Order: sequence, then structure tokens, then C-alpha cells
Amino acid sequence: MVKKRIKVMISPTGEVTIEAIGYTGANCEEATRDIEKALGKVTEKKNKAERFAQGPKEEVKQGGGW
Amino acid sequence: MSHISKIETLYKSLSAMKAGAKRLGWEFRTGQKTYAWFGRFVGDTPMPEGLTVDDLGKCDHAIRVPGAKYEIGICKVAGGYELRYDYFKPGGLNPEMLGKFSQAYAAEQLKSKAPMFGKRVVSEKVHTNGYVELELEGGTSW
Repeated sequence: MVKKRIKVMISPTGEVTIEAIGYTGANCEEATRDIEKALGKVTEKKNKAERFAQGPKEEVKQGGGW
Repeated sequence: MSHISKIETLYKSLSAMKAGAKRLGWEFRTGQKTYAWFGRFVGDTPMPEGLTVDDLGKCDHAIRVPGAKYEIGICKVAGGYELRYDYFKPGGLNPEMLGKFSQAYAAEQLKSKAPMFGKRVVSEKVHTNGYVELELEGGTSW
């Protein structure tokens, strides 16, 4: 399981990139909202595939119906 | 992993601006109402939007950068502060310096605000390419 954390990179020109790591679903937005607001204005937001993960999928049983 | 946000840094906290100046070894001058510049608008560049000639050189606080003849003015605006400065070369200030200040401000603002959001900064690194990396943990939704 990935540990939940927030990585913030600040460029020498002052641009900030915030990366929420290990989150899924709505918790993801909540985790960074206050930080984003404290630092300035969001100019771009990119979702990662993991955000939409719904947890472990049920095992698909094969055979018997062919 | 979940999402990535890009943020345009806005100056919202005077105390983080002071801490940012200190981090760079610059002198924050609280309440200084003028900042050193060329002193006369010569019209070689467009006037910044929303400003008049009379606004130039006036501020609410100022920053002195070691080795620079001119100073950075900090002006109160709606929702925070903005920086004003004269980048005429002999004055010794340039956009790269302002970028460094923005970086230092953002790092100090984050460190100061993180505990208010139930988070803590667990590491801070300065990379060889000049990027500052901070890692946070904690929070109510964990």
C-alpha cells in the first residue's frame, strides 16, 4: 500500500507543483485544497489514473460457461 | 498517486514574505514607504497595468537586497501584496531575483501554514537544479 503524502516542488522562478500521492477518490482533492489556497491560484490540475481506483476488483472466475 | 496541481504563487502573508527575505539573507524593512529606483519614468517600457507615474517608488514595506542599489517595494493590494521594482540594470535587481524571492516565500508560507491544516513538513531538500522540494504528511483525512 502506498503511503499517503503530499510532495511540493517549488521552481527557482516560484512556480509550485503539488502532488498528492497515495490518495483515491474525493480525499485527494481535500488533501491539497488548503495548501493550494494558501500558496496562490491553481492554474492547472491533472488527475492520475489511481485517483479513480475503486479498490480491489472481484476475482473473475473462468471456465464452466464455454 | 492521485493528482498534480500547478499553482501560481500569490503573496498573501506578510510574515511569510519577511521569512522569505530572511531565508535569502535580504533585509525586510517594515513600514518603509518608498523604495529606491531610477526615480523618473522615462517611458522606455509600458507602465504596469493599473499604475500611474505617481505610484512609482511608493510602497508599504520594502526589501533591500545586498549588493543592489535599488530596492523592492511591497504594496498592499486586494487580497494580498504585490512587488514593484525597477529592473534598470545599474540598479542591480532582475527578474531572476524576484523568482528566487517567490520560491523562498512559497516555502516559508507552506511551512507556516501546514500545521494549521493538520499537516507537518517531514522533509525539505534543495536540488542541484535549484528546485526546493517539501514533503508533507498528516491531516484529518488520512
